[in-house]
Amino acid sequence: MSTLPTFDANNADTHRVAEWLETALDGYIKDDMGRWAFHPLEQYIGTRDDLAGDLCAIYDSLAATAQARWRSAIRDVLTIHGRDISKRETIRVLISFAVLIRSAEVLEVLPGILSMPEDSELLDLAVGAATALASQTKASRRCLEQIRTLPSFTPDYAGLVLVALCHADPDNWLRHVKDLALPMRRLAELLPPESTAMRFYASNILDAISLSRLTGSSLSRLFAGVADGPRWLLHEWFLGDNSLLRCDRLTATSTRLALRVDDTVSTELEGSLDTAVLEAEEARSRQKTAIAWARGSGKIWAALYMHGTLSELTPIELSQEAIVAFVRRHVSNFGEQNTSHWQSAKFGGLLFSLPMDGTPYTALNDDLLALWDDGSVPNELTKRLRYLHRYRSDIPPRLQRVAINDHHAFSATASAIALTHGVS
Amino acid sequence: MEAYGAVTLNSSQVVDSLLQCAAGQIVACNVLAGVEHRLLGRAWAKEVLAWIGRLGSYADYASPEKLVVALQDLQAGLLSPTVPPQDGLPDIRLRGDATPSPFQVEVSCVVPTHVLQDIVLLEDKLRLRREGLAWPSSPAEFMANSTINEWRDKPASVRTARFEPSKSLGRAVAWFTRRDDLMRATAAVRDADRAQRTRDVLGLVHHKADTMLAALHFPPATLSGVASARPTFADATSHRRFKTWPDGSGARRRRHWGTTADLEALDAGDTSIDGCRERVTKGIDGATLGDGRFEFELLGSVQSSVGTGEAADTAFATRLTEGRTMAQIAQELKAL
Repeated sequence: MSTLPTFDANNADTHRVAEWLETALDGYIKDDMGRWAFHPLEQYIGTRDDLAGDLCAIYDSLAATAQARWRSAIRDVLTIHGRDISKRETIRVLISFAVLIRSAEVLEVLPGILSMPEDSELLDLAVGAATALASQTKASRRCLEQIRTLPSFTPDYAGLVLVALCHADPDNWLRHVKDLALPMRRLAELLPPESTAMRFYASNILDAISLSRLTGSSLSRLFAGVADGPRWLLHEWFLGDNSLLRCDRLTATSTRLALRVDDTVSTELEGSLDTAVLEAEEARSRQKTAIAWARGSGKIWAALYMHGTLSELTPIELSQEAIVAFVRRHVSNFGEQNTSHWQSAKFGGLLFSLPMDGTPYTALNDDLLALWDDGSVPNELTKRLRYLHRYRSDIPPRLQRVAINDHHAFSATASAIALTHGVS
Repeated sequence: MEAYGAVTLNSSQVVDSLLQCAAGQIVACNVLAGVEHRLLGRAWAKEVLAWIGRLGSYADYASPEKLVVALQDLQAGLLSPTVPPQDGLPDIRLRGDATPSPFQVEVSCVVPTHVLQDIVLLEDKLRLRREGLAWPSSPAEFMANSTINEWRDKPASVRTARFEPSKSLGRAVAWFTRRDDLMRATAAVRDADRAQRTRDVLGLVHHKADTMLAALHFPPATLSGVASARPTFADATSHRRFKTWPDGSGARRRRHWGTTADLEALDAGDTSIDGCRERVTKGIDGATLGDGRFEFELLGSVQSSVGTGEAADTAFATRLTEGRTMAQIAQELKAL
């Protein structure tokens, strides 16, 4: 028989807590001592579903100042033993415990643990911890960046780490998208055709960075990069059948993204948009997407115009200069939110209603009709031809052809022209 | 050094001591209900109480609350290191009605998400990671809500995984309910309340607010090698909302299944607090499970904690007495 050691959980310093934790975990895991390894806190052990949960029960019982010391102690034990293969189970329990109590301190040591060779289970746990604890702190950014560059980093984690990076460092979201472009491409190849994971990642990136960061310049750089990487994101955000962002109108039958890009990237962009136009043509039969662009006043404007049935939308955010309207699916009260937006938007009088699907005449329609001051009502084709002719210098020939034959492309083109001339 | 192990508590002393705290009262009432309704053997119940008395003579178990700890340690087979080795330590688990055993129907086990994450085979874990499963363990995680919403709609084939052979589920015992019961109990519940309702109907009082829960659904084939039984007080040990004898006549006729205590009904003061059918197994060892396949559901987070502590436990214990005083309970237990 032996006496059990004493331990004052609330008043012990960090070093003593670390020492106690390590000894207790060894006793439980290696020496089969059961709850008694945690004396004098054995009453908490076995009360939850696993040991990490039991440790949470202890942690919850502590004063706040003691909790801070315990978090530091977890970090210290992991710092000392993080790469000790014989302590694998101890490390696993402590990481799970750290995540449950949301201990950001552990982020400082996770990359070191991840360098433990050939331990895929631990890699999974540590990557999971880093993503679960992601926050807008230097430690979080650093941890996630280090994980991304580990030799053992696999595409399996690319989506989650990308979203976590965008959450931790939203101002540099575009860099993270590009940095992880290759693993994301490989990840997409690994997914079964019916998977919705890429869409899920795209949606979470939007949530992480918020729409206000989708500035014209960042989007133009995203567009510019479609050939070598983040095309998946472009697809999920704008071009896919159920793309997350749509342009809109009050009628909720259409959506619009207007995008201004700088002249400096125009050449590069032109090729990318060409690809996008092709895709739009492919989608035309489904009446989903059309893309138009126009040039004017020293700026290039591109307008993506998509059409679909929207049932739910998020609030619209207006960026300072370029992005005019994003409409997210799955939020109700589209009409109210949108009306409010359009009334307050900088371009509210210009970006608006396009003549679609029998919707009432709108400002642009009035503008169009003003072209025929003799009072006659032209047929649709004549109207398009005359309008496009008037602005032909602003419209690439290729797009003129598309716009003549396609109602949506025409509408988008008209929108872009109106935007260009109106704003300038 | 202090000398231990001098005097063993007799059964009368064990009963008196147990009834001095709420946790002990719950144990005592469940022992009595089990014997009264012939759900467990009188001799065996006395044997367990004798063991508690024997352990109660040691300092680490020498208080009313610690007698319940003694019962827990007896169940785990791991006693305080201050207690000398005990010959003939019994395995007190799975002594309730064990027919039919193993399970003939699909059963479910509800655990925090981090427990689920731990038991999934690595190969499947990676597949699920690719699909964007972050295993959120707290609603404070930035992807928690989107993950729960996304995975609620995933087809069952995607939400199916295999049990890692080197892992285990449960501690000394694991608790299961029938999946059809659980589905019925939560069918009319809003998605946001699913975790809370599940926690309540299964009587999982230890899951506090913000705990993210997952349901694991096991087909009979996966658990074909696993024995199960109707739970007794010796399986429940310190479980503060275990109730041996259900309130409803239908549940009482089902001898093979126990019935959980519905925390919501308990809080509302309902006449019946019967929840779902339940059985226990010994802690599940992944290596014993055939192909180990199971389906999982992410239920979301528990919205609010339920009353725990001495007062709430006492109220529940009082309910278990079925109108008798604790003195009467003591008398009947001593007469076993």
